[in-house]
Amino acid sequence: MSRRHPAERVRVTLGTAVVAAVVVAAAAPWLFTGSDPLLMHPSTPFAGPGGAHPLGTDEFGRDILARLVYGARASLEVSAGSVLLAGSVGTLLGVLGGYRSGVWEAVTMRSADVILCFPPILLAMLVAGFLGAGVGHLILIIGFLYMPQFSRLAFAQTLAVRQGEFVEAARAAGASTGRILARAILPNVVGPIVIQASLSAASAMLLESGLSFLGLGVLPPAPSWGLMIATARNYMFQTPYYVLWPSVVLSVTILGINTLGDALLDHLDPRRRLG
Amino acid sequence: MPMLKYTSRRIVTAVILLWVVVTLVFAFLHLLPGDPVFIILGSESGAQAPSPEQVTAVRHALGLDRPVPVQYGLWLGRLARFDLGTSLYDSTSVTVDILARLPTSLQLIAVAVALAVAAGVLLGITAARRRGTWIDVVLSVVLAGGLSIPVFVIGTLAVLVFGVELRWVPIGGFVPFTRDPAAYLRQLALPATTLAFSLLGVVGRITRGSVLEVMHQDYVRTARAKGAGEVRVLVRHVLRTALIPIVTVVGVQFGILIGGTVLVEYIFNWPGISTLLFTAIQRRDYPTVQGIVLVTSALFILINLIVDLSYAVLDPRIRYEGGA
Amino acid sequence: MTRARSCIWAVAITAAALFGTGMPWGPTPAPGAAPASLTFGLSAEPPNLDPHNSAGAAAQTVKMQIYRGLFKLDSRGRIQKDLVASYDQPTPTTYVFHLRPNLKFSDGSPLTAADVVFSFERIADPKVGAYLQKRLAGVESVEALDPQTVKVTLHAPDAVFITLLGLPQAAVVSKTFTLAHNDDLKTVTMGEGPYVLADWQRGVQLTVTRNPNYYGGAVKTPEIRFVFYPDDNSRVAALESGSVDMIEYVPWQAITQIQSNPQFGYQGTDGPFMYLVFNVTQAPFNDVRVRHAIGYAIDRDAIIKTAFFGRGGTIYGLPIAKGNLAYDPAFDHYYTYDPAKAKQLLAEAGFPNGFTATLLSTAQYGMHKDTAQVVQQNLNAIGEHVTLSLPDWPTRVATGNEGRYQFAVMGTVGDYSDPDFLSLFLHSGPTYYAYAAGYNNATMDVLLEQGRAAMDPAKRKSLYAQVQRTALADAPYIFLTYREQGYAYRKGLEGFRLMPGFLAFYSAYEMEGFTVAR
Repeated sequence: MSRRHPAERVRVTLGTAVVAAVVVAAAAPWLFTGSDPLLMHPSTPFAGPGGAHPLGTDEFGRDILARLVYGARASLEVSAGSVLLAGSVGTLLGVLGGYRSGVWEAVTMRSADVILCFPPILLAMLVAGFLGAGVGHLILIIGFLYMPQFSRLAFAQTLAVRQGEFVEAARAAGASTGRILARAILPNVVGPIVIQASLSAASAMLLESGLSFLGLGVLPPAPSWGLMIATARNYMFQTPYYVLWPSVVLSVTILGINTLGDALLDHLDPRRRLG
Repeated sequence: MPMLKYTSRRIVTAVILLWVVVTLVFAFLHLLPGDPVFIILGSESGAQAPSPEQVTAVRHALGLDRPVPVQYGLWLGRLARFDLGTSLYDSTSVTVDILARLPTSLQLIAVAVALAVAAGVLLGITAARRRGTWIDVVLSVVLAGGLSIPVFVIGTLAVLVFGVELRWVPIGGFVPFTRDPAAYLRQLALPATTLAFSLLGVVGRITRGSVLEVMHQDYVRTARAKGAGEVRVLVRHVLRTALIPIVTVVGVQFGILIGGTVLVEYIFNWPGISTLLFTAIQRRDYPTVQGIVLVTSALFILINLIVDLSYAVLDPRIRYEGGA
Repeated sequence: MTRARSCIWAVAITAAALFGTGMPWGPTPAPGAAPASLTFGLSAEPPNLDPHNSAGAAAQTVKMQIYRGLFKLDSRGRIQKDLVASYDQPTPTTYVFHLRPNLKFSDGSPLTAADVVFSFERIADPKVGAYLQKRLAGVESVEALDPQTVKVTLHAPDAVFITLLGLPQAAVVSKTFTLAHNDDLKTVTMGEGPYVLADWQRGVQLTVTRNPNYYGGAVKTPEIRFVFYPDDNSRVAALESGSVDMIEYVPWQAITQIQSNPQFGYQGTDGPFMYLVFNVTQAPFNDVRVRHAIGYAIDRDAIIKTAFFGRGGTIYGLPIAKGNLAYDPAFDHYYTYDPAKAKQLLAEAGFPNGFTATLLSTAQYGMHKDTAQVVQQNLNAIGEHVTLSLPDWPTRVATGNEGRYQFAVMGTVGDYSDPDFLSLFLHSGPTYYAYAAGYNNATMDVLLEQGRAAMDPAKRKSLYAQVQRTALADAPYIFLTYREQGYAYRKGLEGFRLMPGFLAFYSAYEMEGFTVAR
């Protein structure tokens, strides 16, 4: 079976390793670095890699490696939190809307439309303006913004499956709604939802990047990969490596998340179980 | 005809939806902290404070001292006459501002989406067909790369490499298509490709996933068993159904893109609608923000409608009973 | 298949509609500018072109080409007569200005005393929102004695009056034109300067061409194209790739690479400055010892090195630099960087274990945000508990205007080099985000008013010495650093000379003198 193809295996292993490393970095940063991510050394900004600072220093002379390691926490919190929020609520609404149609469909799809009409920046500014910035609010904002993607996808998948012979047969056999949902609808919905979740986790991290820079997310001086990339962009011509480090870390982490999502899909694909 | 009934119903819903959105935005904007009058009267470097009489007079001249419900009513009234109002900053008509900038953004987005869909679908199908082989792995990594690398990093690097070092493309100094198509295309290349690159990943992955799922469906197996060639089977049956999530995603992405190309337009000095909106929010230029949200929401709702209607075209199994 | 064909048609029609519309909205000049024209990279698009408003330094640069005033600043930053041929001052509070003969607006209509009177009235009109409305409130009356003569009477003598009339915001506008356009000069212009507005492509660029009716005669450069580059990197890239001949607001991190490139020239000077502003009515900053402690606790060199890439100067007293009438080296080192002393002062003030406070700044401007981070670090390093509040600019302004802050970071520049500019910061008045909330010292008010009204330089110098002493003792502000302000251009551009200090922002005043060799 192709699942056991060596290429797949290597990819999945690497992806898992990356995500595990990031989770560990978030939980126990002291394992990766002994430096303080907030300590400034104003006399040595933009120091090159080497010596006390393995990856060099930023514009305030702070250790980049330390900031990368401690930044894992914020990035993970934001992406995991917002995707959980969006995924759970969104999928629920989408499945209900697709299965029940009528009022449910209207509510689900129209509210999804309303959310998607909001420019993300506007919504972020509004919430941050009222409630103030911070990781928690960022999770709320991004979670809210991503809900429609899940609900629409769940809706479309549910709609497609609802008409299928399997569901008709189950209904004819007198199965309860709950059973139908659990046995027929959900397994077909889970696949694309998981892909969407890994995509959303990725784009949540990317969105956090922009929002943090606007002061609407992670507040300086706390480290966050998004904030680091946004700041480093100003110095791209002078110190290109500064933008490279968090970009690489961010990209690799997202790659890892996507790879795991893939592996999960393979595992959960009902057709493969049946076939 | 159920389709007609469904369509007219959706249009009515769309109009209501639009009204809800702009009302919500109107309310939120006026509840946001930050007073446009002080932004108009000051700048980030000038130290002179405005006098209290100036603040009152300017606020009155702009109609901002009236109660919010009154301002809302006036705005709706103007809307009925297709008048989106005037910008608080330069008295230009918001309609004129939007009409000047919106097509430019749409050009960028349309080209980027076209590029991304073409390349993404191609790569996705290839990856699905070669499922499990090294080719699949490599392609999947490439697609994931498109998703993973932040678009503004790609953009800035692109400016650095192609604009400054190689001098293949100009930096700034926008030339419209009607004036000089060759120069226009040269300056469109980089921003469109940058935007497409990040879209590519989404489309490719959804294609791959959907094609994989559908490839094993009964009706596909039946067609294959009947002796139809694999490519034909794929194109005819598989793609049609797999296109549903692709179309959904592209539809959703298109809407997000309209509001989210700020970074690409900013980096490449592309004079589009996102930067106008962003600046307007920053300056609390209420009429401009309201106008842009209205127009982009209307556009998005329209695209949604087309997407939803195309479900029925693409997958004959989905029927719309009039009650939907 | 007909379906496919109709699809293709639909796409073709949409594409035609899409690419055939949009920019430009109005006539456009050809993309490659004519040989002798100058292309200038602006850091922002001017929100509007009303000369009496202040809409940022970038807008200023454009307006200065189109409009002129009674006086102007020359390339050395000295006040020179512009539309005025000569003037007398019969009494300390009366001025009589004699306009140059045969002045015209760009459409050929004559510029007379009536226009000057109208301009003063317009500045005084609150709904115009003129930048100088408050500062010129001391003007009691303006009358046209004859078409070439204007008499201005002030309430009290004002040592800075002529200087004010040399600021770009004191431009003379056409009475007939302005009234014909409903007093709205935001998008239409009628100036008397060396250039006229030729074209404005929103979001892209703005072009001005030679004004045939300019009193100074035919200018060398026939056309200036201002292209908008709000992104720092793109602006620098545009210069380096040759898309523009000159840029303003050179980002600090790019200065070294431009200076070391023989193809380009750079001129920069310390001008604007960063400072901390206190709400002196609230704890912990209602205690002057705490404010003094802050003055010792901040490592200004660190701010310059990090926020400004080493491009700036420290301020250990007040932003009064050499060349200013009131400059006195005795005030230069009121503070030093002495964290131990800061701790001691704080202990005396009752905060041996540190105070808790929120530092207000904004995430929107990098220099504000970076300065705030260093200040926070410095204070927390000596045991204080400072958190940052970094909303966007309008919210930060609103919070400041309402006085709902403890202390905040600000950056600004003086409009002119006369010590009278200190009045803005030190005179009592309504709460404004740039000024210390609640600062009210009657002695200081009197000193400032006397300094403004005195004409004798020696007397003014001694008055402002007292002002400075009081300001340092009261410490409603702690001034931190200057930041460098620079222009970069490609070699071959002649005629540009940077103006000193605060006036650096006016350096493009004489762009008609710039020429570019091709």
